[in-house]
Amino acid sequence: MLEVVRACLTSDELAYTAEFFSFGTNDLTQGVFSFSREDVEGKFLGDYMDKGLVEISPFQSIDENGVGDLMKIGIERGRSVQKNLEIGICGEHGGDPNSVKFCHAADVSYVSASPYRIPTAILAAAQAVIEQKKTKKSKK
Amino acid sequence: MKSIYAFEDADSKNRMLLGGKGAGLSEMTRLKLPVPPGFTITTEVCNKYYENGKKLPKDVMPLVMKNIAKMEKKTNKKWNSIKNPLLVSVRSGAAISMPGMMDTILNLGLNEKTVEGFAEQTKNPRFSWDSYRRFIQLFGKVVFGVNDKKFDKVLEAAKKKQKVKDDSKLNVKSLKNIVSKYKKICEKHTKRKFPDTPNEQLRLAIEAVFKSWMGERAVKYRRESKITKDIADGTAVNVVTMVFGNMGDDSATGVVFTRSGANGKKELEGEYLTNAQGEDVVAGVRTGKEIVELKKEMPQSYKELNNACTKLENHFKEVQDIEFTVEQGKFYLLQTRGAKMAAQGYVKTSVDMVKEKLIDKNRSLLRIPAEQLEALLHNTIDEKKAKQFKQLAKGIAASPGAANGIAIFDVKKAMELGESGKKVILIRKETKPEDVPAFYPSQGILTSLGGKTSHAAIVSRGMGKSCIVGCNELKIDEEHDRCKANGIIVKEMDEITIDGTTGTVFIGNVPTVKPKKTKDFETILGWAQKIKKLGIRANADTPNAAKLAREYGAEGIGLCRTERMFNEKDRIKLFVKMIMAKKPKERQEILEKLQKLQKSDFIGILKAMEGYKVTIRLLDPPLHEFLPSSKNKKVLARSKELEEVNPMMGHRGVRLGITSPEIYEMQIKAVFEATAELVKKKINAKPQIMIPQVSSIAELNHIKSIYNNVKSDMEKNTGLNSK
Repeated sequence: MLEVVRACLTSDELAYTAEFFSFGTNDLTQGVFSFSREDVEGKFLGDYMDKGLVEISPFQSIDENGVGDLMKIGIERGRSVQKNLEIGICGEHGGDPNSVKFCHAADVSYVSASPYRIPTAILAAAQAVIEQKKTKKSKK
Repeated sequence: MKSIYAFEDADSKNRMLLGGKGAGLSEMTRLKLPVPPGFTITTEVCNKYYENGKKLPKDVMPLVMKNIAKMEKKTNKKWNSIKNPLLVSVRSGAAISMPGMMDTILNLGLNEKTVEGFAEQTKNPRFSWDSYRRFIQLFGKVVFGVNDKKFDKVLEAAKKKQKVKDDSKLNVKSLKNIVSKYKKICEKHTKRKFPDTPNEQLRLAIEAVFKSWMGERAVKYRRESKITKDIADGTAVNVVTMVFGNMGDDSATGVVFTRSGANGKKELEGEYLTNAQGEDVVAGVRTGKEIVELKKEMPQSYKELNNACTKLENHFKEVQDIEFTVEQGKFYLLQTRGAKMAAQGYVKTSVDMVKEKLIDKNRSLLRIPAEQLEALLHNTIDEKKAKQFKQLAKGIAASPGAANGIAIFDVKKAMELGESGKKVILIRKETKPEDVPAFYPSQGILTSLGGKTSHAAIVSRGMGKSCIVGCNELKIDEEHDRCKANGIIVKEMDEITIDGTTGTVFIGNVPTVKPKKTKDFETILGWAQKIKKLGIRANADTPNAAKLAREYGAEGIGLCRTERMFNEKDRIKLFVKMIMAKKPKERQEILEKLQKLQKSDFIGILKAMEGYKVTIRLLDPPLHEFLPSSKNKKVLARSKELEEVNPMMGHRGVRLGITSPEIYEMQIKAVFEATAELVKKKINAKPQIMIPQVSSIAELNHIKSIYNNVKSDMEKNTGLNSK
């Protein structure tokens, strides 16, 4: 499981032993931001949002610039050793449409969501494919 | 870039610039539908207004006046005219609709002189003065921030004085009197004269609408609805010629959906009021009539409305939400926008519109807000009946679905009553892992602390229980088994209802509606499954959750948290005992018991997910999280021993697996044994073992060697040779 920052950075080493990767994006978010979920959401995130410093809680939707980049590093280094390495994400983000779309674009193998969010994840994954086709077309 | 567009020459594709309302009005104008003349000030001007220190850029008002002149020509009316005045409404409109969150001003252009002209124009002085009164009230409230109650007091007094009950019975003399008092209220509030020229009124109104973009209501709504700047950046302002739905019994105003927003049925759905202004419908001051009534009452207007609906749906290829007004028999459209529907509505209309060849499958999938699908899987509040119930408080909607039951503040009692068949809502300040056994027999969970990812929220979501967290308004007194909010006290055993979809807590037993997995829902999921590339697995810790996940289309389990299993009622005590055990032998004995329990859990889950991978995560949380808050000396001492300064970054996951190898060993063995047993029965079990909190290859290899030892032992014992 990749939920510690160092694991993502040394994923090329881990890939020699691991048979699959699964990003724990909740813990990873805590690690990358150096703030703990409970304290953040209960105490200051609301203020940050009111003041326009944060638009969406990184615990709701994957922070693509920071956490997302770290995931990309983990994926790239891991697959440099095992080309077809199975890589998933588990945790609350798996049921968030924006995070699902990010995972599709980042070539993640699967996302995992709580049972009631499965249809949401399935639809978001389909939307990701359709939207990607659309942007490719408009770039042409 | 132009800062103002008349409806007839706008580039109506640009919703970001014109806002939804502006884009809709110009698109309808281009479709030659009956829209009152007007123009849109762009969202860019809104942003400039803020950059400019909340002042309109200098070139805006001259441009506004040029466009007013255009409107004069089209309407044959005159701005600030004593004989035939042009009146306008000033309306907000961001790229995304934010119903009721920003401000609107109606009847602008009236003053002491034009009100007489308007009376002449309409041949109805009472109506004219009433419009003027309404204008001052709305203007005072929106532009100056005067409290509505002050105006209401004056109105009530006037009614008393004239001895009438209804606003509409007030005569001109009373209305004139009210107008002068209203003005004084405003002047007292602002300490300056009430603006009398329409030019100044218009400028102030435009600024007020821009200001409402950053108003508390609007900011909060955007936050809750996740409307970020790339979705809507500032509001546009629409200045539209006034049309009046309150000019007599041949006038009306209403709102209509081209298809049902609740269930998606293809029939007009909406309400209207005869002799009323738009705000009366929206505000619900008077109860509207069903739109079908209009067919009888005003057949010509109904026909025009029906045609417009068809035309707009075909044009936008989307269900529309339309506002209309009939002024003395003449039909006008005032707004069109994509309808916001309930999940069921989106799903049905998506399938229907594909059948009708209005849209293709891709578009039908894209138009459904993915996060809304979840609502189709949970019980919901019976909205119609909910109106009769009192709201107690509002918290954070943590896990969707509605649940009702009796309020219980004690974990033990919740378990006892829940297991005896009572419907229980567990109310706590916050929850701990030791409280989890009480979640199972409860209908729903309500806490006053914590956010969307607090313990109560995550556990409830995993179980599919309704849950509201962070309900700060609620003061919970766990000791005396009661809570209080907004002056209402709820005692133990009182009936309450929580709506985890909206975060609303109701007093009493609000009826709920069971979900239906419709054929259309299956169709949509089927289409999506064919297109998607990403694998979708479930987070599931129990066989029941695994079965449910399969039913909803999961292709395996991506996270099975083994610690959740220890939280079940028959396990937690055993697990605590294991932690408390000092002697290795004692510990080993308990571990063997736990191993049997884990094995049976794994068998259930692997079976439910036959043919699909199941990722089992070995124990992750630190041990002290399992210890109850007890007064027992031994437990306290052990708690103290295990206490950490920063548990999140402490002795947990693989670190625990390395220092207490017997725990991971037990868990790995349980996985092997479960698999062996299933394989014997020719059931295709595909477990994967996941090690949490790994930070180095050394840790991973260390656990791998434990795994290898268990594996070779097991292979010797069972004769099984597999991964």
